[in-house]
Amino acid sequence: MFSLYILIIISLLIAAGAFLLYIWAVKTGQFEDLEETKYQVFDEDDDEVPTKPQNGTKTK
Amino acid sequence: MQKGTHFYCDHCSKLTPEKKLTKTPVNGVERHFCCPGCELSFKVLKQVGYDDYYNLQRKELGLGEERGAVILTEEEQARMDELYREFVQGSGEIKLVYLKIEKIHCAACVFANEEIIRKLPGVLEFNINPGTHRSKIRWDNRLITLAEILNTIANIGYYAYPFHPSKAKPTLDAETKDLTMRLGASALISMNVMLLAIGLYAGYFQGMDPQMKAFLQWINMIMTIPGVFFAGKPILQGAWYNLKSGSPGMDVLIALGSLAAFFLSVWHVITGVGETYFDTANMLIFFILLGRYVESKAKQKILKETDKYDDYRVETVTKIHDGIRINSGLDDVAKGDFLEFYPGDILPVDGVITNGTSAFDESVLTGESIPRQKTSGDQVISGSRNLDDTFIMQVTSVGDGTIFSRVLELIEDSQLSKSPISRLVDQVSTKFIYFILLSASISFIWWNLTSGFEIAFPIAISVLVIACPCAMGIATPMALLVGTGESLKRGVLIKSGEVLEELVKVNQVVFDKTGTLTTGIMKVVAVHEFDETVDKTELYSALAHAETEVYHPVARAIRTHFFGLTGKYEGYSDFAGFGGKGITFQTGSYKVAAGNTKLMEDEGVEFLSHLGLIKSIAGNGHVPVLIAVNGTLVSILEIADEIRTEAKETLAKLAEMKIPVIILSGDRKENVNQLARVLGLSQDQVKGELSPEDKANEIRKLIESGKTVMMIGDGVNDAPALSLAQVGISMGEGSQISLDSSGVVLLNNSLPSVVKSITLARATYSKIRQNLFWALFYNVVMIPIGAFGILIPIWAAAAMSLSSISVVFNSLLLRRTVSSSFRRMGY
Repeated sequence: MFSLYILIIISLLIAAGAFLLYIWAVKTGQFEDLEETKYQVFDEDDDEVPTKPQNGTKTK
Repeated sequence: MQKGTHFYCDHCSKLTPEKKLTKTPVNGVERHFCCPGCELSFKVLKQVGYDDYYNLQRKELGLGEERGAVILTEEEQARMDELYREFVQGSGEIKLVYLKIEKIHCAACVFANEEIIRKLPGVLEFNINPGTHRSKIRWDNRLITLAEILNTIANIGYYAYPFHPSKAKPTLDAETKDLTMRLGASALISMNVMLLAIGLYAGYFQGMDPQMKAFLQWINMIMTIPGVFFAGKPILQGAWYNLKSGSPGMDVLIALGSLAAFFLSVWHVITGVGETYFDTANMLIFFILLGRYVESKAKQKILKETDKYDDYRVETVTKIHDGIRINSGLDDVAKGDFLEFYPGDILPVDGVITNGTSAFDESVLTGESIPRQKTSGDQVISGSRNLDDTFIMQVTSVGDGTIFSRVLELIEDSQLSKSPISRLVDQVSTKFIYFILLSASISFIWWNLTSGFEIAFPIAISVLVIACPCAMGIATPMALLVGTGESLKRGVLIKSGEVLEELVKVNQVVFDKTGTLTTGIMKVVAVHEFDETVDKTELYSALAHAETEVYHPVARAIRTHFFGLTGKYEGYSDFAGFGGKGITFQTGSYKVAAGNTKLMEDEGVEFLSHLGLIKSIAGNGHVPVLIAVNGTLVSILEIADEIRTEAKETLAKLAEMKIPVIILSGDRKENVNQLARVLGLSQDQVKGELSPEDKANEIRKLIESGKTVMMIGDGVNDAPALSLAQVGISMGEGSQISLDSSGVVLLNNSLPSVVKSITLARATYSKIRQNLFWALFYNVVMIPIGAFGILIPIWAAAAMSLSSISVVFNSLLLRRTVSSSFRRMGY
C-alpha cells in the first residue's frame, strides 16, 4: 500500500516534466506550422543549399 | 497627492517620505515617484495612452478620479500621433484606423464594445468583426482622440491596438500559440486528474481507505490549481471583464461552472467530507479551449488566402527627374511624376503609360490570368505586374488613392461588416445568457429541494455549460468569412453583409446596354465594296491616318481596323472634318469623302442605288460609313458596338435561375430592339431612348412593385439608377467610380460574375441559416437534457464544444458547395 503513495508521486513528477517539456515546445514554436515541415526539403534557401561539390570542398 | 510629509508615488501609489521621492515634471505637471523604475513605467504607460490605469487604481485607494490624466497636452497628442501615424488614415479631422481588439470571445463581448464605444461623442463608425476581432473606427479628431478611445476600450477590459489590415497574421499566430500552450496544458492536467478521479469513483462504490482517499483528493486539488488558473486564465479573465462591463458573455457561464466545481471540491477536501469534482473543473476548461483552438485554426486558414496581397507591396521605384533616373521611396512619389518600370516589377501606383508597350498581369485584382497588352495612353493599375518590357508612365494616383489600396480597403470592410441577421443574433444571444443563468438557478433550487445538494450541484453546472450560446454567436460570422473569401477568389467583391442579404433576394435584373451587354467599343464588322478599280490598300491606309485627326468612336474603329495595312501609302492632304458628318481629304490622285449620307449629299455623291444596304445596316443597329472616291461611292463600312461574348450565356443562366431580365438603354429604339433579337429577349423586355433620370424612374417603379432589383450598368451615366437599385454593379474598367457606386464590385469586369455573385450569396446565406438552425436546435434540445440531470457536467461541456466545432466545419464546407455548384453551372 505504501508503494502506491511513492509511485503516484513519481508518476506526478514525470507528468510535471512532460508538462514543462510541452510548454517549452510551444514557446519555441515547435507546433507552429505542422503543414509546412514536410515541404522543407524542397526549399531552396540560399544559406542552406550546397553548391555543386568541388574537389576538396565539403558540402553542408 | 500630499499626505503629511509623505507623498503617493504616482505610479505604484506607495506612500513615500518626501526626502526619498523623485520629483520629475512629466508633460508640464510635477509628478512624484518612489523609484526610477516607477518613473519609467509611468512615462511608458502615459505614452501608450493607458492613463486610466491610474484612475482605476486611485478609485481602489479611495482617492477619487483624476480627470486631468486623460486630457492630453498638445505635446502628448503630438507624440501619440507620431506613435500611431503610420496606422491612421484620412486627412482633415475625420480619421480612420483599423484596430485589433484582444480578449473578445463571443457575441456579447462584441456587443459590449460596440455599445460603449459608439456612444462616445465624436465616434462616427465602429464595427467589430466577431470572426477576426478586427475593427474599423472612424472618428472626428476635434471631439475625441485615438488615445481616449483606446483608453475606454482598455477600461472595459479589452486591449485594442492599431494595425495594418495586411499585417494581421502575426498577432493571430501569437494568439493561436498561446491557445496551443493552454490547451495542451489543460489536456495533460485533465488526463491525470481524470485518472485519479476514476480511482476515487471506484472508491466511492467499493469503499476505500480514507487515508488513500484524502491523499488522492489532495493531489487532484494541487494539479487542478494550474489547470483552472493557468490553462483557464483567458476564460477567467474574459469572465471578469464581462462582469465589470455589466454584459455577461459565455465566459461567465464557463468560469462560474468551473470555479464552483473547484471551490466546492476544495471545501470538501479541507473538511474531509463529501466528494470532489476536480475532473469537472478541468474538463470544462479543456473542452472550451478545444473549441476555441479549432475556431482559431480555421480563421488562420482563411486569412492565409488574403495574405497573397502582402507580396504586392513595393517600397521603392525608379523615378525619372529631368531625364535622370533615381531610386526613390514610395513616399516621395507624387501625382504627375514619371516612373520607369522593368519587366517583373509590380506597380505600386496607378498611372498612364507615356512611353513603351508591355503586357500586364492584373490577376491579383481581377483573377484573370491572361496578360493584357497596353501601350502609350493606356491606363495601368496598381497591383499589376509588368511582364514584357521596360516602360515609362506618369502617375495618376498614389498611396491610399490607388485602385489597389481602395480594393484592399473594401475587402477589409467587407470582412468587417455585419449583416443585419448577425446583429440580431448578437442581441438575442446577449439576452439569452440571462435566461441561462435563470434556468440554472431554477434547476438547482428544484433538485436541491427534491434530491439534495449532491445531485443538484452538478446539474446546475451542466445547465450553465450546455446552454452556452457560442455556436449561435459564430454561426453567421464564420459563414460570412468563408463566403466572402470564396467570392474574392472568383473576382467578386461583395462590399457588405447587407449587400449579401439583398443579393439573395434579387428577383429582377436590369442591364444597361452600351458598355455592359456590349463592349462599348466600336468595331468595323463588315466592309462592302463596289468599285474594283480603286486601290483599296492605298485608300484605307490614308483613311486610317486621316481619321487620327478626329476624336470619335467611329473614327477610332476605322483607325484600329485599317492601321498596319502594308502597301502603298501616299500620305494625305487637304484634310477637312465635318462634325457629325464625316471627313474629306486628298491622297495621291484620290479625293476621298468618308462619312454618313448627309456628307454624301453635301459632296454630291450618288448613293441611292445602295439605299437598301444602308437601311439594312442601320436596321441592325449598326453604323454605315460611306466612302466615296472622286465623287463615286466605292465602299460602305459597317461599324458596330460588339455584343460581349458572354452576354447570351449570362442571360440564359439568369433565365435558368428564373430571374427576369430587362434592358434599359439610352440608345435608339431600333438598336435596342435589334440587341433584344440577337440575345433572344422579347420586345417588352427592352426599353430604349431613356435618359439617366428615366432609368432611375424605371428602377423606382420596379422597387415600388415589390421587386428586389439588381442593376448592372457602366458607372458613369447610370450612377442614379445604380445607387437606387438594391444591388448596383458597375462594369467600369476597375475605375474609382465603379468601386464607389456599386455594392458588388466585379474585379474581373466580366458578365458571368453577375451570375456568380448571386450564386455565391445564395450559398453563403443558406449556410448561415443552416448554422443558425443547428445552433438553435442544439440549445433547445440540450437545456432540458441538462436540467433533467441526464448529462453529467463533463459531457455537457463536450457537447457544447462539439456544437461550436460543427458550426466551424459546416462553414468550411461552404467552399465545397460553391465549387461544386459552379462546376454544375459550367464555370
